[in-house]
Amino acid sequence: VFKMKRFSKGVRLPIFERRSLLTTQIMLLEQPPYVSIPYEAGGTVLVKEGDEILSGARLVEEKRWDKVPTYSSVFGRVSKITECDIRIESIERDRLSPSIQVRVEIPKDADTITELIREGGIVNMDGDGAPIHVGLAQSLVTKVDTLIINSCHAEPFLTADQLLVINFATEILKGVELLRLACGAKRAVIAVSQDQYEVAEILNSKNYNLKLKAIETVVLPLRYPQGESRTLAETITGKKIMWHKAVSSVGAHVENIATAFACYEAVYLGKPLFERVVTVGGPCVADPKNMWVRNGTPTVQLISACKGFLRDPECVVFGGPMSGRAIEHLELPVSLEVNAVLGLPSDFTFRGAEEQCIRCGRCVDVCPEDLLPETLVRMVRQGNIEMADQYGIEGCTDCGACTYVCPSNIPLSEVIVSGQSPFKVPLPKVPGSNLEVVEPGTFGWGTYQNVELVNEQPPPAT
Amino acid sequence: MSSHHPQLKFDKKLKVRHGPYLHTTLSVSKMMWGTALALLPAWVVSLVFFGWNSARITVLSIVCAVTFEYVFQKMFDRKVSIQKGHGFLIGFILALLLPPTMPLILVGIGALFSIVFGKELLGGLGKNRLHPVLVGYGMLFLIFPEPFARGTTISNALVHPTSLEEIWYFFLGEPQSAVVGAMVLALAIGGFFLVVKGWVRWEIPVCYLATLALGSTWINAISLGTIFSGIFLFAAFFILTEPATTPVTKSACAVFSVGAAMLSLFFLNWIQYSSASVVFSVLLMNSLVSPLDHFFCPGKSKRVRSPRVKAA
Repeated sequence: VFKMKRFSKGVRLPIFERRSLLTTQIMLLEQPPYVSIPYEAGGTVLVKEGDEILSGARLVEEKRWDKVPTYSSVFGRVSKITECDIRIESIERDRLSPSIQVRVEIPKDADTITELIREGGIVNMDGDGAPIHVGLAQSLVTKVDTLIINSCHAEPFLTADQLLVINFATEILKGVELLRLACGAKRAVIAVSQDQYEVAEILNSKNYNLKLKAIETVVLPLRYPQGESRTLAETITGKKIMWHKAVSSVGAHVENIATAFACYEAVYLGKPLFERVVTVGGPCVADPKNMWVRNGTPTVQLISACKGFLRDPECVVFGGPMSGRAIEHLELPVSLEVNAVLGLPSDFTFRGAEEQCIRCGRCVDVCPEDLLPETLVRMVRQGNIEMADQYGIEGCTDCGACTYVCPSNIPLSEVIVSGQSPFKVPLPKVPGSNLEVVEPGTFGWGTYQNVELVNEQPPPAT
Repeated sequence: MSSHHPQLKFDKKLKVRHGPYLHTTLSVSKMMWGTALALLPAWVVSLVFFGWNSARITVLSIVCAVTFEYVFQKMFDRKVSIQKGHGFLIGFILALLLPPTMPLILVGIGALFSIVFGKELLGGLGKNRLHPVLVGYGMLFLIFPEPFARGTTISNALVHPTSLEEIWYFFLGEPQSAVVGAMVLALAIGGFFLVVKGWVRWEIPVCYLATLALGSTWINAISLGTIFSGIFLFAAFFILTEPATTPVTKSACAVFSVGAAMLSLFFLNWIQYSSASVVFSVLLMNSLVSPLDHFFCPGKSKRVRSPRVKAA
């Protein structure tokens, strides 16, 4: 008997095959021939081209506290350093850095844990890949009450988190306890989706021995934007989050379950975050699997390890089929926030030509943020961003549920996000490269009244 | 570095677009043709009881509606969308609303009104704010009232108010009220199909019929049998549920159908014909959809109360 929560919005997606669950073992992918590890500009690179480096050794040191250091993921030779990534050609056998030492005394106070999490280079492994220690410290100050651990994607094909729990339940519980101490929450709730009762069962039975009283598991119905952090926080706490406010406004802090495992490794084992479990799957992939993937491995290595494609994919997607993003080519490195690589065929991704909206209201029914997607789309297309702002356009989390249900094939979330961009661009102190200041009041809307957004985005860093 | 796995060779171009990469199988044309399918039992019943009269009105109405839709879409330089079945559905519903004694020329004029003033002049499917069929029916009713006066007791496929006992007789095998009972059964089957498929919101028929049933306990002129026969069932499942002319949120839909029911009860005190009372009440509520949508906007509790502070 599990504790259930109700969630009536969102969509019930069709159930697809889950061949990646045929084995519960997580495959060890051997060292790829090369990795290209991305890092944020502003850090001090500690290596030179031609240096030999061990896996788990520090590559980039960050002076700023809100950034995290970057670690090497293979034993190899640095071959190229550019502004945004470091390429390392790997050497045959793997060798770990001696700096990785099992910690004897596990700290209990929030500040030390947060500092160790920062040192471990832990980022949010489910969303944007931003460092988590900043959010933890903020939550500690705002005195959040609940730590929510997200293990319910409710998207087809994503099984990485499930297998991680099946294999490492005790470690995850310890990691959750660390995160709970770090953010100062009174209780930690592990949210599991309804098709994964075994996950809840394993966690409960392991916790029987560990006796971590503050941790509980909750089973949520299998409805799609369940894993979205805002939606999850609303479901668990039962309170509504205002569109312009953060999750912490309802006293909750959301982390992913893979992140909890990474925190365990960083604090207990002293192992920095340089590899993660990735699901390689989708209808096109010959032998879908979950595997340990090192940061910066080219996508083509993952697909090769799964015996290639059965048929040609139309899109290869990083992340789930609903919230993921399609990639341009298979040489793109898999970074730490990517939880799945899916090959999707054309009959799967097919969406018909756009037709006129018939105002059936399905998008309104499914929107987890209580928006009016069809109204917002109308406003954005008319260029009436000010009105769209009043109707809460900034509240859209781009979950794509409205686009999924639309019988007229309107790309609702895409249009809404395109209208959202003025709000998402942070206001620069100095006029930035793609923002230029014009006469105040002559152009613009909302917060950024006197800033014009030039449509041309900087080329993506690859 | 040698790899155990043979390296994948892949040089096809991958498609990059914004997600999601999954899509529902539902489409507008599926909904329209599905609604027409749900109307089929009612049409079969009317065919059995009214025979040739019903058949020719239905065929003429559908042919006229689809033809006018094609002609006016060509005329306004729109993409021709007769295959989506909206024109077909308009013709079908109009035919079922008209009395079987209707002169054929008036049927054609009704279809013309529905398509032109109800739909195409307003911007096509989805832009119409009034139900197209009701626009056509209302104009016919006001301009040519005689045929409606002759057919007071019967519209083509819809039987006018009777008592609850009369419906019950059908199930007991009494022949004189067979048409009423059979029609009620056919409409209920079609409506149930639509609700189960999720093509109409269940709130609309439930709130509409519940309000009417409650109202019938106050107003003596209307019996409970009136409510669950003919036109009201038809309106609850097939007229009020036209997507473009109903509010988008669930709560607004409930208010919309309650309002329509109350208005039609109000009109029934003065107008003898219950079809007309339904038609004009729904038309009035259609014009209130925008304010209803605005008032029942779901995210009110999440909105910032004060307007956004402008940067100095």
